[in-house]
Amino acid sequence: MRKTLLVGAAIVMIAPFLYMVSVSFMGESELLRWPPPLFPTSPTTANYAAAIAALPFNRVLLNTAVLAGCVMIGQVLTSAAAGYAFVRLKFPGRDGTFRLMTLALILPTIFLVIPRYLMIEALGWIDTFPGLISTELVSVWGILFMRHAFLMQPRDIEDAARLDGAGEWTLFWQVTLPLARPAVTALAVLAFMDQWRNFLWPLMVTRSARMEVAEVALARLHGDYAANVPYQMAAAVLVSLPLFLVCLIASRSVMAGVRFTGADARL
Amino acid sequence: MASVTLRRLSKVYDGGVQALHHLDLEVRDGELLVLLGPSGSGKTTILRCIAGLEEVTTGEVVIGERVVTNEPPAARDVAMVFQSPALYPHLTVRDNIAFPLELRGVARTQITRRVLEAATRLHLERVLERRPGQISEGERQRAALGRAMVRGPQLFLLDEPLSRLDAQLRIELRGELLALHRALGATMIYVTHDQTEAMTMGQRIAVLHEGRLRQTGTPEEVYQRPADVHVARFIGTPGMNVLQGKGRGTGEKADGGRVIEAGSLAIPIELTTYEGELQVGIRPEYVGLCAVDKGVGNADVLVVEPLGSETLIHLNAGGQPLVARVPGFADVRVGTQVGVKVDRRRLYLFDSAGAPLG
Repeated sequence: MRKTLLVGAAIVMIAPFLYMVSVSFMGESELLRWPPPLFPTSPTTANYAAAIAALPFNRVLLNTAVLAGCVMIGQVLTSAAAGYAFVRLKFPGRDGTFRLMTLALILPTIFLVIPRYLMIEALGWIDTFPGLISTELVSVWGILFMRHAFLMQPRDIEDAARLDGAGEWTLFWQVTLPLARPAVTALAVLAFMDQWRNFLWPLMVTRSARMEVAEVALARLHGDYAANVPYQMAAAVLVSLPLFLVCLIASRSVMAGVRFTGADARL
Repeated sequence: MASVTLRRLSKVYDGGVQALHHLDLEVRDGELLVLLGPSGSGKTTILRCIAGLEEVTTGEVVIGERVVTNEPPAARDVAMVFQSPALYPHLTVRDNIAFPLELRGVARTQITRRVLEAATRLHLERVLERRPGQISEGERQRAALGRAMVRGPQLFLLDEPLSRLDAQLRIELRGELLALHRALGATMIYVTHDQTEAMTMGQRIAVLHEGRLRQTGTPEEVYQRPADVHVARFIGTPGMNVLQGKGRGTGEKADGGRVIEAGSLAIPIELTTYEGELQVGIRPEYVGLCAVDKGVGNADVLVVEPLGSETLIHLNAGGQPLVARVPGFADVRVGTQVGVKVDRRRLYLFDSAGAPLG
């Protein structure tokens, strides 16, 4: 019973994706038939060639990779450092700050977008990479995630390291962080995927085609070629391909990290 | 190597729990002292205070000649082995052992040599390149020992390091630890709740109960002359029987002398000055069985545990539990009544608060 449900759910989730791939190989007129065909009658790669030319593919991919890559590194560093501080360091106002920060999770992103935009504009960073990236470098969710991962670590190892002569910095870099590797990997992958699909913020803060990222480019394509669905599907397949690869490679470590097996790291 | 002195050491945890009460303890240079007590008695807290992992509320910690109460752990030059091996799982055994040396900036060639020395002594040569997850539990605990000894600390703190190992391995490592202590001549403080381990390892044993030091002495002293009823109960497997009783009688010969009434037993004693509530202790080996009404009273047999060389018989003497240890196999059946005899020269008398009498 449970298996049937799971298989059903998996089909529901994967079917649109497969259909997207199928449609991307159809001719423009093919979809106009009723009922719409499931598979292309004469598969063509012409949509891909056209989409690559229209996107422009290289530029968009590069921009998105820079955004996702920088944010991934930034979020891992800030989340790990802040998470560690909230767990292991004692400083005045620590718990108050932490509570205040978690409150930020309640706010919908849309609330924060306008003040952020105003700040970036005041800095003169509109339509630049610093403007695109800087606001995404700290993630409250990421801090909570890393804090939890550190909380689950056995205290003995840290005590042993202190006795071995490790200071706070050594402890963080050489003991605590390597021990939290599953969580770090999971956070990195999730941050990367999240930014690859980021739409609202890049839409607001970038203007020129030179700065366009994947989701924004797709939206533009949708506006430009609303009637040509196979064409749009080809573009969608192209920009989700890197994400798909990341998923394939990292799914196992993401699962491990999310399940916090980092906590029962074998001793 | 160094001596350790604790002066009026108290520790109150954040929640208000007082783990240690004004504790005074002296560990001699080169000594292996065992801290023994049930869980929650404060043994581990003492170690952590000595190591600097726990802040002391009041009192002083002195290592050698130096007061280290407010020094950070790294500055105290002590090594600790935990209940879990607490190895760094992402490093090989070699790197684990080398870690404290690397942090101290010891030269490469010296590190290699010293790691190999430690590994040879602990029979770890074959697993040096493996990670902690790939070696056995015993090897992990040895590796933790290696990491502790490689930098030649003044003091070793061992927090129940063998408790997670199986019985056979425990005996083996116990022997190795003793050999290591002799070879290094190091001062060691060894925490355990296992009194067999304490008796076999400790040159002296410090018995703790509820954050207070009850007695410090050689294994023989704490066994033969327990300082109070807690020590008496805790030392020995099983521990001493302690019966709640009442002194009665006039002390005149005609009256049969004085008697302690405890449950269904009436035990004659020679104590002449005490009346009223008291506790009487007797080790299981000095309790014997006889025919009904032939001893100092009768008791019901609750459980019989034949161990081969001896048998433990758990009795109920009028509501008071009593264990008898008799040699070989005993011919008694659960549910029957037996007579109880005691060796009167082996009685320990405590007042109702647990302090020894007479």
